[in-house]
Amino acid sequence: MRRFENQVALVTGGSRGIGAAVARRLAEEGADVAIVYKDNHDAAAAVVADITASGAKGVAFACDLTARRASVQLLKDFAEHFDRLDVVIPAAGQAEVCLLEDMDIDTWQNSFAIHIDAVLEVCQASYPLLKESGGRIVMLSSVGSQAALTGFAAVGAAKAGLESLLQYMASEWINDGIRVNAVSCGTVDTGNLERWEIGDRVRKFLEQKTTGVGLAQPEDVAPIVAFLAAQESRYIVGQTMVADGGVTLGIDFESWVHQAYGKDAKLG
Amino acid sequence: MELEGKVALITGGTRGIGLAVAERLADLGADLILSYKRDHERAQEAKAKLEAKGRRVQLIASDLRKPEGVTAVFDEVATGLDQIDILVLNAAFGTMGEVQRMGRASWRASYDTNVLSPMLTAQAALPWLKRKGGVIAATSTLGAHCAYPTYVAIGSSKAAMETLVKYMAFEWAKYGIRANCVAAGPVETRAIDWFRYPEAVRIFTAKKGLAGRMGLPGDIAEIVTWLCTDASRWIYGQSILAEGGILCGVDYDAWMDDNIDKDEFTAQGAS
Repeated sequence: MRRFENQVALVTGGSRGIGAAVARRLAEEGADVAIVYKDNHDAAAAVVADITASGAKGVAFACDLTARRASVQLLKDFAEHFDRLDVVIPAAGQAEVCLLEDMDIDTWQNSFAIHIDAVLEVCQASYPLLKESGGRIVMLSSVGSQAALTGFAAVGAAKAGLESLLQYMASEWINDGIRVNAVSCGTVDTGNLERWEIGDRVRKFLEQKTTGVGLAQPEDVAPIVAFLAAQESRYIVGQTMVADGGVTLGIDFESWVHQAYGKDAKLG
Repeated sequence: MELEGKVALITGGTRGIGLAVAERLADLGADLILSYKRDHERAQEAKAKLEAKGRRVQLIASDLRKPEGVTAVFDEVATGLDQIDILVLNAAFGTMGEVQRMGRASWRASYDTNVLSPMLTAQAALPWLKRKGGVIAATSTLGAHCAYPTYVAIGSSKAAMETLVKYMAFEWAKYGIRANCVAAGPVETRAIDWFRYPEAVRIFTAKKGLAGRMGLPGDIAEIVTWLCTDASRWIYGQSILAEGGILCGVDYDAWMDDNIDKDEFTAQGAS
């Protein structure tokens, strides 16, 4: 499918993880893609090379989206390379694991700065161009916004704010022809598990819990983001679509007992 | 009385829903610590009213938007009643405005008061709450669950707060602490006048809502109080929606104004 022919997409956090997978996917489907990254030039260059290899135009912008007026400047720079904007994917994020008792103000505020403030600002700055094109915004959320995940409060609470922000944005901007939705992911293999102390346990849990599916890869999320950015989803407005391999879907009492107390634990 | 010997700290406890909660907790026997921002006269009135019920009342003036304001509250708790069994996270603030007009400073101010401050307040109250186990109840808004006009800064920050409370419940159950929220539809407090058309909010709530009238602070306070008592002991990390039935059903006929008396709207001054 080439659903994004003659369209331009802006993807923040586009140098790695979900952002990079979405950038590649949109380029494969015909979109020219601007990616925004913080400081990993090599990773950004690699994604741009993939975009170019798809026959699309790719440009990378280095930008700390949490800096004051960063988004305004970003869209100015963007306009020097592209003459339209159809799709915005604010995917930049940084998950730190921390319990509330140990939470310091900076960890808390930094999470909100990148996961919600920066999203608001990049969408605000994109608004005039999206209004012209009848554009779409697809945000990235986390199931940690609806279910408490161990040590995930700073991200979960910020993402809950984001899911609410998107309802407001969707309801206010649908009249301008801009459609806003989100994909709420479970744990995706973006390199974070290796950084976290609890990473191994999370990986094991997910392998058990999503039998046959396992830990999500960024490429599992990208097609869902692309769907919400495409014309075929035109009747979906202001929604958060959960994509977590079924992790938060139900409770399996029996497998929980077996996991906690061993395979030989008696169930009856 | 069920809450005899217990102490409740209520942020924003000298007016509106906070004061209504204070009165009910006092009726159940709890002593009270009320934080408020700056209206000393109103605070003294609240104190007198609650002391008349035979309760001890400690007033603490502090700006909870600032982290040092939170610290100041607990310095005073330590030298005052030195006990917290019930924490009611009620203080709130928000700038009204559409998404496109929301600037960074007012956005931050809303999130600092409605999310950061409850986080810091609960952290600081934790040593007291841990002593014998305790409860946390927070007041939220229906605007965290669906969009209201010009309400994004408050609605989205309260959505973040509700999830924060869920994490408190998740992490602190092991200390015998329960945490929950009440998400209220439109209630007759001064915050209604922050809307561009307050009268439209009142008419909508009374006409569309199944309850047939505007919400009152007591309607919400009853539920918050219940979440502070043992009757709700099996409820953890939930947000209770209390909105007088305004979300229940879609009435096309009413919306197409077949059943609405148009003169009523203008007569009540919403122009």
